[in-house]
Amino acid sequence: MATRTLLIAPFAAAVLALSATACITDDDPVDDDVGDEGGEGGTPCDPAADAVDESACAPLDSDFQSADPDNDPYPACISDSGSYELYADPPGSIDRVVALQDIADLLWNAGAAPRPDDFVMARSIYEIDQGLGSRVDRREDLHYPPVPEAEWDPGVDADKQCSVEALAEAYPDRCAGPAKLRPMINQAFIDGIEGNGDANVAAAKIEAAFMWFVYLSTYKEANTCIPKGKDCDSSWAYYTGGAQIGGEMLGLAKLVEAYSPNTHQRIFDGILAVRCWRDLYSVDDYPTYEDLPEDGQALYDQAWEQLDEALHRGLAVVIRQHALAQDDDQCSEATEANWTFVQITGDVLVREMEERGVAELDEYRSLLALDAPTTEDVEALVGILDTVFDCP
Amino acid sequence: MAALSLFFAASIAQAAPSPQNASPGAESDASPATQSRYGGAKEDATSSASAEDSGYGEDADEREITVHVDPVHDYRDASAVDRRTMQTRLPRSAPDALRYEPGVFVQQSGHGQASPYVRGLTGQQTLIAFDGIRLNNATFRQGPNQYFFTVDSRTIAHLEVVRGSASTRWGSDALGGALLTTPLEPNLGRPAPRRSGNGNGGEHAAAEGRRPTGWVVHPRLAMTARTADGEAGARAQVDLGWGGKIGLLTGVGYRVVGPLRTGGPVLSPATGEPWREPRFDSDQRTQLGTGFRELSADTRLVWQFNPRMRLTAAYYDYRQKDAPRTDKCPPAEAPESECLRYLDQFRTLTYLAFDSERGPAPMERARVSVSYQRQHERTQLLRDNGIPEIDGGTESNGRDRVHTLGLRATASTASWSVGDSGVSTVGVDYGADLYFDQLESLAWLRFTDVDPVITDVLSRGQYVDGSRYLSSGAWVEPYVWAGPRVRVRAGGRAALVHADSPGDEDSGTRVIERTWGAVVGNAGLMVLATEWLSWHLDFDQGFRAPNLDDLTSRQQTGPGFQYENADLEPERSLSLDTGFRVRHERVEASLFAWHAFIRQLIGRAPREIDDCPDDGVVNPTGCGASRTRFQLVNLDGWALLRGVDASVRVFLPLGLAVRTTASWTWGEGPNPVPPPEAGTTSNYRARLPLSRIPPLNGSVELMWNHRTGVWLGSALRWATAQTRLALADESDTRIPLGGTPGYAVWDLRAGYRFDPNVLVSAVFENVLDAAYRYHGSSVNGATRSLNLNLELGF
Repeated sequence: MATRTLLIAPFAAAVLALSATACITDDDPVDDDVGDEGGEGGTPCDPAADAVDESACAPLDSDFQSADPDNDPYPACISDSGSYELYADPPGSIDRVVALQDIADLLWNAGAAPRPDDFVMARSIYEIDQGLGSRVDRREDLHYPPVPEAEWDPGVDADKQCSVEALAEAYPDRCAGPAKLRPMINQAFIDGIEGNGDANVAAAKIEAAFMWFVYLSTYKEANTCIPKGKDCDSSWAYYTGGAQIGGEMLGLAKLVEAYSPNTHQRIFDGILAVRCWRDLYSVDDYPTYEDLPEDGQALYDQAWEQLDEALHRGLAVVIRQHALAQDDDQCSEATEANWTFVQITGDVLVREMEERGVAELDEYRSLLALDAPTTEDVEALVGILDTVFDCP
Repeated sequence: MAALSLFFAASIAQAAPSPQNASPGAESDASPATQSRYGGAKEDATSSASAEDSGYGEDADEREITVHVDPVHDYRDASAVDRRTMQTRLPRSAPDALRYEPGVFVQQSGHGQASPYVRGLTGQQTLIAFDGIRLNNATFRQGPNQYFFTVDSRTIAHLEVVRGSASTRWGSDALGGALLTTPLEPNLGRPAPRRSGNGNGGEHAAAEGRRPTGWVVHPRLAMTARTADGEAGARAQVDLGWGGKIGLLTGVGYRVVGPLRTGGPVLSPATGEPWREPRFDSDQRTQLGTGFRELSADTRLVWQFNPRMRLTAAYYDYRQKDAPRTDKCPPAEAPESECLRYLDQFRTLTYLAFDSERGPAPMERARVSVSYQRQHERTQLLRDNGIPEIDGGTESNGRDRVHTLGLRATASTASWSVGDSGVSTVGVDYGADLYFDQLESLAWLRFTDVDPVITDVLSRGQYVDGSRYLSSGAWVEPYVWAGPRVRVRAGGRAALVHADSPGDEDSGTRVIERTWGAVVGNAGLMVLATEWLSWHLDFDQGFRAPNLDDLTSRQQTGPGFQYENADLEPERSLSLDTGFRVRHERVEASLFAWHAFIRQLIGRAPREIDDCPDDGVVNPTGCGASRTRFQLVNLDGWALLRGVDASVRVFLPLGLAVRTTASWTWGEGPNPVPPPEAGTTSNYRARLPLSRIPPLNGSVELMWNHRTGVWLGSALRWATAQTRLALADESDTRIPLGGTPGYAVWDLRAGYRFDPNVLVSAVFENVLDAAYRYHGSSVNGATRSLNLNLELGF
């Protein structure tokens, strides 16, 4: 018996030894503290409260008008109540806009310059799986022509060519998300976390990029609503954060509503117009644009254009209010950040101004390029915006 | 000739459970009157395959070269693959070795991952065992998982599929069936056989009758290469034995697998257009997000301290590195640099087992094992910052570990004669088991493009750190041979399962303290109509208690974000089978029709954003941001699965054998979405197809074996389109719009065996270069390619 015990012992020892070798010794991760010292840059600017005069503006005869649906050219449809009726379940884009607002509360709505750990928290929110960052990275600007078919990567679907990094680099205007927004936002996060330069400037870059993203997304989702009806919901969600008119707006809509309720209503009407079209031409019967009858195509073009025009004006209003804030006493500590916001978002409208053949385009560009605009410069810039994008 | 026949027969028998490698709990209840192979798989497999006994002369030799090993559970619907067969098919992994088995359909979420569906169920709803030790743990998730891939196919002697619920013997999870793996055994110092045998550590049975000598060493080197993915791998193995008493089989394997070239994108049944998800490289052939590295090591030390008792100490380590999850590397639409990888997929199993046989009548055969298993997973989703001048970006990291302690005891009584005739006998198999899981789970973000690198630890990981799970039970299964032709079995298990989790307040994860008890049973009837034909009728219950994945996990799955439900109740199943099995010298066949009922099936119910668990700023999960969200729920009502599994093998003259299989599965369950309010118009359906039910599929194999050791073969795998989709399938980008198209894939095989010195095998895969995908997979099948295996040893 003792002999057997002696023989069994090596077996047990072998098992224990082998178990020990199975151990993996990577350490548990621990939170890094980047410091909660106040960020450099003073108190961020509030956009100007100057009233926006749109008294001369009126909807086009071709526009969908939720206030008077009986007299617009659209047949009776789901949007006539003036409320946005979901096509499907509430979309995930609502959560992304909520995340945007959470980041806003950390970085530019907190009433003080953000600290490095605010940027860490904000970036963590930004990087949620399937969150804001994931969509920024893939966002295309449908105002620009698609990547030419001859250059497509044949291993990738036609609507995903911007995910090919070489193509994104070659066509940065179309591939605005991966080519422009992604590096801009990440660079700003890096600067904010590392404490490089003015924290408000880093925050302003992020804010401007987010407004740009929402502007592109609202427009893009209204287009991809043609094959996927639920993308109409995403268009509405990206703009409003999931609210109805009169509700608590988030993101871009929150700014536009604050500066120009009229423009806000017109953007909302544009979204309703696309939803109305989708209601009139079901996705089951018309899954592609080509499947639509001529009148269906015309109605879609009309609705999408209404939304596009309103969005231009909405973004212009946001830019002008920020530009006007340059002269506000309250803004004296963070004018650089404020002007950075104006420069980034202002540049977004250049394409539309080119398309319209705006005579003052060169002057507009010059003004945006200034490092320290004077009061006259700001007034000139606002003047151009009000002229070109006078009504939604 | 007779000697040669003996070798062939013995080599076949080696993978069946001989006294040395018997699977614990395997039955030993051969009818005393017939000594039929039915129910007496161990000794009978050897004797029945003997050419001398069969009287078929040379034809019998040819037959025996190609004969399949009988499954241990041959009293019900089961089949087995042995090492010899694997050496001709050259599977890429353990799951891949099952591709030609009826009723099994192998899904792949990644190139380094695969999950066998057994009768329409997989993952947490099938049971995996290695040498009788349960591999399932409390993190096995809903749908396919990668864990069977972590069993190194090069260590397997015998792989058996038991189709249908099997919870009486195997406990929780065995709803769809059980996958029972028997490892290679050391030789114990017996001389190696010549010219036949599988030559890879399983020779001891072939040499069973040989006189043990002193120290004997059998080294072996196996090398594998494949052109479709540039795989290059090798396994070095040494089998050291002494005097029939001590055996040590130790091996180490490594392989590097590159990007997989496929036949190209499959076509969407709905549009007829190529389906490019997951993504392809610009050659439209190479699937992005494929390739991995793998290291395996194993040691098996056996001490046969007398003819009736043996002690086994075993250690199996599997380490897979850098295996991308194909559908997330990159995800659809994301920049091509974005990738979710399993940086580590490790599994370590070590155990001590004591086997005895020819013991006292109440415990004529017994096995007790004590095991420790450690499963380690390390995932990383990498998103580049897009700034050319600054390297790095954001890493979303996860690390989950499960430590499992196991204790299992099984025994079989002697067969007692009933009555005076001695024709009827009765016996009992019985056992008990207990497995305890302790879970570690962490998740954190790292911003690698800032200086210094910043780490942000989230409040919880995919699971809740510190959760524990206990699964236990005791079972008994008596059987009666009522005369020489009728075998009746009936049994039951009493099970107790306990789960606890500390919860996580920051993420709104509840504390869990749940206990479930269950009693399941089975009954079976086997009638030997003739010596070669049996009829089977089986009722087997299954159950699956919710595990920690169901109760606590939050994760992005193929169909969308899935979150936990702490109130889940166990699933319970009943499978009814009936069928015939033929074991004739010229024909082996089985045909089983089955129907399974599952009550309270756990499925995915769509959820809205507001339903998401609290995922505020403190611990964002991505639930709300996902396109689709699901919560696991017990479906109200019965889920039904039914199908037919069939296989036929015909032994032809001149060493030819043809085998064909076919499987059909149909599944339907309650709609997880409640019906709309009365009066509203809707296309609502109260019942829907179950997720990822395999299409009608099958195979045809033609093999020619010559006594010189040369073989040639041809194999065809086929499946029809699967267009019956579950709700979750429709939002899963891995499934093309409208379903998965059908396919037919033709392989050619050739090889030469001169045991134990040389084994050369080759498979020319996908001769017609078909573009194909197993339903529900992320990975398309390999392109036209060559797979080579060379084994050298003595």
